[in-house]
Amino acid sequence: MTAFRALLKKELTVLFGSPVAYLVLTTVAILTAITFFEHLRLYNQQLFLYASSSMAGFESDTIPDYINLRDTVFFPVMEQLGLLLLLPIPLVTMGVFARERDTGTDELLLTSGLSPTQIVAAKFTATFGFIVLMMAVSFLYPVTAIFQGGLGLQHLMAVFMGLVLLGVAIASIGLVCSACTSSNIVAASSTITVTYLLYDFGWSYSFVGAGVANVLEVLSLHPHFSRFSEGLVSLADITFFLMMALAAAAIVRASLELRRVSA
Amino acid sequence: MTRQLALVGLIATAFGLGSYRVLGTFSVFSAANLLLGFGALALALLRALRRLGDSQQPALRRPAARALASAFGFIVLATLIYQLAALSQIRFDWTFEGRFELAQATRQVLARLPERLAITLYSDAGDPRIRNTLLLLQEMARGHNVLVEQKRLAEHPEDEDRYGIGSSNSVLLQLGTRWELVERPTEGALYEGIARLVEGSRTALYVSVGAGEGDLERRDDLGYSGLRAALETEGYALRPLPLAIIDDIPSDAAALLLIAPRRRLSEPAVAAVARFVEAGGNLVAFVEPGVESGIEALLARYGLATPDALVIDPDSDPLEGGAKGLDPIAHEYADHPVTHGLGHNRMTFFRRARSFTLHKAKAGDRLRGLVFTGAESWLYPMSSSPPADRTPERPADAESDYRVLVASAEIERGSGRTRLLAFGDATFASNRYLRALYNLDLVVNAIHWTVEREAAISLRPKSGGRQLVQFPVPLQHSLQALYGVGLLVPELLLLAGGLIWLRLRRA
Repeated sequence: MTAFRALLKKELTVLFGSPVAYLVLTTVAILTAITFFEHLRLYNQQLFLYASSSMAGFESDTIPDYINLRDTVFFPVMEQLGLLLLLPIPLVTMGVFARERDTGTDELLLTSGLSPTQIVAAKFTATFGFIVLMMAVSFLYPVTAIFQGGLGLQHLMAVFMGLVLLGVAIASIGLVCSACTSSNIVAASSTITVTYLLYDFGWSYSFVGAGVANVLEVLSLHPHFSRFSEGLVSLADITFFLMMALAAAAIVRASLELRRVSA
Repeated sequence: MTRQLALVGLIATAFGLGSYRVLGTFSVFSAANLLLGFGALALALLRALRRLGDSQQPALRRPAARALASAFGFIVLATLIYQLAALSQIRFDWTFEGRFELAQATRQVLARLPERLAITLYSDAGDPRIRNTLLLLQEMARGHNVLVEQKRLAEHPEDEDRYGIGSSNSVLLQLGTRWELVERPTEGALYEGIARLVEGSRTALYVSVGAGEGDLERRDDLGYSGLRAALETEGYALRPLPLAIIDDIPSDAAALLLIAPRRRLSEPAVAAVARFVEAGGNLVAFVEPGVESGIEALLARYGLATPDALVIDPDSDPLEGGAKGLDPIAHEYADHPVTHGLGHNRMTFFRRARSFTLHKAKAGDRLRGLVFTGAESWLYPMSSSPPADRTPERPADAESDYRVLVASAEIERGSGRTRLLAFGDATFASNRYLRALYNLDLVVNAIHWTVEREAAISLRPKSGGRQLVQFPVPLQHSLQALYGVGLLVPELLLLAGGLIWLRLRRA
């Protein structure tokens, strides 16, 4: 346990000692704030436009159904942020295993008495902790704005949970890619490619059969994550992302085991 | 070589799929890239496996195989756990409006499905309304005997002709050989379509006509065609009954509906109604202030007396302008099947109403006030018309404690036990007001109770969907929060990160 804690501390130190982490944190937080503010502003503008054109106020029937907090703010913000996460997270995960392999410290690690499971647990915990922190910092502004408006805080929490879980899934793919190479660039670019491919298979449903389409939908990240933006928190979607992390951890553990055996 | 192959495979696959995704067609470019990509990835995988086999000494193959088997086992376990979670269908609605919670009536009608209900959503590519409709349909399918399917309109032109589908976002409901088309698929419209398919034998309701009653055929604001449609949806067959020319109410009548006759009913007509009630027939009567049709006296005979006066409820604000207090908004209800689910946040709106006082005509009669006005209500006598633009002054000797707007009676006369239901207003059930607040639920549930169909009592989905969040978020606060939190926190983070990095570099 002490060795695990030491490794976790070392991982966190490496992560937060790197400027990439701060750049990623800042970029995601600023983009989240600006995207959310812009959508909030647009929502208010549309509401005022309809309310003032009819002179009937906000409780009248003149505002079209599609202008509401969910469809005008939460859903589009979530869609944009979900796509945005495909870029910064691979930058964080690329070096987690690849750097060790590149510098040769992975062999030291594997012979240090720590089991591959402990190594995987420490590195995954540190990375996932960073993802949670990144989303928490990014959501400070939306929570403050919505809280002051007195609307939909619970829905916003669903959005937050969806983005954290999507982040965890992307990070899991990133860690698998990082464990399979010694190059940071290869790890980052293969993570971006794989997550882009896995993100949404919806476009392929017209030429694959219904059976294949159903399987592809289950494997796609986007359908699972978009339900959170609808305000629908389902056990199946939460489990999908967590099981993806578990499967990724198992693959990385096997990769380390193979390396230890071959070393 | 393996890595190069894998890299080529990934890039070519990404470009192949990406170009198809963007352009929407399989071009030579995308097909060639996919072929190259998949081929390179397969070769890379083969080479990696061969290298793995070659490089391992025989003694080390077993631990290597164990590691791979363990990873495979974990993946299988993860898949199984996911399948279990998906089967559990547990999900929570965290929307402000509770928009994924189906109304009680929808759940009840879905639970009564006699066989599998096939729901087909017809759509055009890119129709933004499909997302919401599909989620609603999936919620309906969850835990019920329902199969949801989505079809592109362009790919099924024969269905357009067969079912008369006019536009994208239309939903076809099929139960056995019967079908209903819903062109504006809100929960309310879908509920009504399913209810029409599910209801088998119909309960006969006779509706008196010929004395200026509310017109169930009339479609404008003053008519009651909405009430008719709602009752037919709930399994009733409505039959007109000219009281003036009949001797007796037909024996197959589950209930007789009297919707506020404007003219005085003839003596024989009132006598026919009385004979019907005393023989165990059920009666639903709507009365209006300023009208004495003879029904009022009949109701009084059974304990539901209603003075000819207008209820003034000072607690009720006008919903449509005009004077305060003239149109009672009720939010106080008795604990009774008719008012099940109604409460402080589920109000009903009445348009100029009279009230009831309850006096048992016989021991054993059960009289209940069901819907009440505010405690400060008083009666304005109809001998003079009330002013329309201001609340009348309450005279010192005004009669008070007349709070009952809807009353019920269970009485036993002659050959059977009878249920009577009396409303102090009819306009609240007209087309103009039927779907205001919870008026529809009150009137339909009251009829269900009267004909002893308590199992059908429920709260129905509102026709316009659930109330959406359509209030502005104060922009000034949002802007302050953007500067105070949205931009300041990242700036501080970047400063801290930069300083830590510089310090670490120096060390």
